[in-house]
Amino acid sequence: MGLYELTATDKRKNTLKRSSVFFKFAALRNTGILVLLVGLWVALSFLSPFFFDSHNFVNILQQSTIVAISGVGMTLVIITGGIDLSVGSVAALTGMVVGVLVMNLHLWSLLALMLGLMVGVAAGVINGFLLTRFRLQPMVVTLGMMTIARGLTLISTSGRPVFVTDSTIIAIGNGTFLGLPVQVCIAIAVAVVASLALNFTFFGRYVFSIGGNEEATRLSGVPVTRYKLIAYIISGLCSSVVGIVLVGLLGSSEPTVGIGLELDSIAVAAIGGTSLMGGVGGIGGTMLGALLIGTLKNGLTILDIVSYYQQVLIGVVIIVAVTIDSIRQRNQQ
Amino acid sequence: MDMDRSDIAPILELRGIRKAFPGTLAVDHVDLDLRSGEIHGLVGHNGAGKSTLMKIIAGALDMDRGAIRLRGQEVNFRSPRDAIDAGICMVYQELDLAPNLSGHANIFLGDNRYRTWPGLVRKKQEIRAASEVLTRLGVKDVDLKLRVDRLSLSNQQIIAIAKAISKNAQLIILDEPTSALNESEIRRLFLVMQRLKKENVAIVFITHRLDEIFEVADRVTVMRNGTVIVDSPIRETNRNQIVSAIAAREVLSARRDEAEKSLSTRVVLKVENLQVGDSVHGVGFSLRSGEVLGITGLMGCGAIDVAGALFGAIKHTSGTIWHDGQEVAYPTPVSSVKRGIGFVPHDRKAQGLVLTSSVRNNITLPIVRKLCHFMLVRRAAESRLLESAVRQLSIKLSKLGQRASTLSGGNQQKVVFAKWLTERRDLLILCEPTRGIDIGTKSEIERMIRQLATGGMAIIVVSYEIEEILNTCDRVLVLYEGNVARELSGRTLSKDQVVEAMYGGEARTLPQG
Repeated sequence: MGLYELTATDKRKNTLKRSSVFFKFAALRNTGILVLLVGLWVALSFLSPFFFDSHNFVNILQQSTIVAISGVGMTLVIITGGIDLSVGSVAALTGMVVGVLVMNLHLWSLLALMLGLMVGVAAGVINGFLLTRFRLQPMVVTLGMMTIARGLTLISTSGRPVFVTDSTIIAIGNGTFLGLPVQVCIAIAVAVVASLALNFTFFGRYVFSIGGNEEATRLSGVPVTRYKLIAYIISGLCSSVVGIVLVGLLGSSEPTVGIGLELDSIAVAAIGGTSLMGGVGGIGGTMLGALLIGTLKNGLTILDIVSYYQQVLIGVVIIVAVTIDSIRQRNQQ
Repeated sequence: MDMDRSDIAPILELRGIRKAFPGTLAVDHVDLDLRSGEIHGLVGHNGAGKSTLMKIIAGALDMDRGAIRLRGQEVNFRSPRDAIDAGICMVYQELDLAPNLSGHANIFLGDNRYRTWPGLVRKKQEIRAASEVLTRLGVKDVDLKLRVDRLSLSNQQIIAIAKAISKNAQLIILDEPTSALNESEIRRLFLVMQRLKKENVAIVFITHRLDEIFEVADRVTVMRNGTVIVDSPIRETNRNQIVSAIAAREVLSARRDEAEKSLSTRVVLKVENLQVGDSVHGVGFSLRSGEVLGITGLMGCGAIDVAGALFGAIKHTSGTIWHDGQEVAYPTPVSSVKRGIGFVPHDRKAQGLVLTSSVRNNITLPIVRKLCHFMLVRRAAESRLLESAVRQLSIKLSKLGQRASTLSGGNQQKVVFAKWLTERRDLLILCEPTRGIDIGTKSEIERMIRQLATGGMAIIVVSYEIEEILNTCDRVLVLYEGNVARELSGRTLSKDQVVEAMYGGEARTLPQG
């Protein structure tokens, strides 16, 4: 510590922080939501005998995976200061492309999956290109993409679902790997890779910098356009992964799947402490956000609460979580 | 200039006005009389106290001490509203119009004359009344129905003046109204000012261009360091007197007397006929390694744009740039950083720092990619670089992960500097490197600029502060309206010469005294 010149107040603050584990814990980004989540688990365990059960925890994980995966891409894009409203539609379009390729055109399933992922890449490239090249607002561009992708999905089969019986794809939705559902494993893998990328690579540094101050980042010699484009491509890819998982889960490519997924993804990112202003956030928080929503949906269903009430309660929790986070941030400054 | 009105009772008298801001005395012991039907020119350097004084008159700032008398009655304006009600309006440089409203709506904004319950507007009457105001100003060619942000700046200004007149202003303060206008627009503004003068309105006209003062003003006041240096009818003074009063001829610091050091012969940067939009009209120079070149002028002279264009922060329209003997067709920040140029922008918060990120991320942003091994940042190597940069600049922080927003202004500026010191660079472009930071840090940074140059770096310092330029530079380009007015170095580099050139003066020596 001798390296830096510390002012008297700095020193006092430092010792204060050191002296108390509690302070350190309270200063962590996602403490509020973690407390909320554990509190919810405890409460639900008392309220229902069915809640605290390993099978049910797997259920919760399963219920959280979809929004967790799309939330990863969303978090990345939001940290750059943008937003991606096309995630739900791109997921549906991917599912439809995969379904048609495998069932109607009898393509080899792995190839179909690769092509499905290309749908997300293409959507990301188009989104990213339009909003960097013409300096359009991300909200508007991705809103357009959301409508286009949904329209294409409906056009491709005139709005009818495609039933998928391919074993590989079904396994993605329903199989298990190391005792966990495959879809949960996929979500964990996506989250871990994204988290590593954000925290330990130059790409992550650029993403945070662009969202914090795009002009300052540009003037530091960072090719801002390229990295914004990459963020939208990653978001598109995550959407496609979601689309594939959904096909496996449902056993069919449903053209209306993923409606409202963009809003859920934004919600879990926001709950997890990712600032919609850009520059601040993290994957860990988004995962906790997804778990919180998953737990709520699961718990409220176990308690036999009508789904209409569930929506109201979930909305309340979103607002409470974001409020706690905002109060914590203000206290930190 | 038709008659001397010094004997007429002033409409507004200022006595012993004083206003201090933390760290500076902005206005001190100022007495000033403003008369109806008189155009009163007000000149002085940026920071001389002109704007502060005018904001006090217009009710936008409180004074610490002093008295303001309006037609002999002592007044105390607590808000711009009070001043407007008393007939005093200020037209700010950044015209406070509602950009999305039409011209007529702006003129009568906050005025309920043409309103009916529940908030509807008698539009036809309002338009008619608004065009009457314009007729009084002798202006016909402004479309009142257009949203004002679709109007030229000059027309917006007319709207702002019309707004003041519609409120029966008896005293109008124009804060650098000509700085962004072209020649014909300035002509029109002067005609409007003459019209107002005939209507017996008192006008305060702030400008940096002395020619305009001599053309249109009846009286001129020069401020320097918060006090009035000259206050005289225009015909009793002359250009040289005004320039001397603005500059405050002082004996220069001893640094100038150093024998001209022997510079290296390696030309790092050569620029010919650089043009940028309509702000820079052909600037050329060459810069050797180890040399500090100052670019200065009045605000809006184009110096900042020259710096921005050299780095590629903004696009130049024409001209040729050679870096290390290689022609650079289109500099971009990416290519400039690769070629070894560092850039400190003039707006630290908007362009210099990522406030939401840590000091660590800010400092290594330009080089973090090179610090990576398979995309992963090598933290240990990074920390070593950071620690040496932090030590070199003595940045005060508790840890490298500290958020940039929690640092003081001076330390933030050092962080922006540190970005360019973690790796060998041969050219630094610094825009207002010490703006808005404390005096201690300021002299530290000035010292560091000299040190870096001694170490062989070529440095460009763009600044509007003459002291800073004189303290750091070997050679100075003074820009005037986008052209190089003068190039000064060695013994010819003095405060007087710089100031003279800043105000568009010819290359001639001033009478001493």
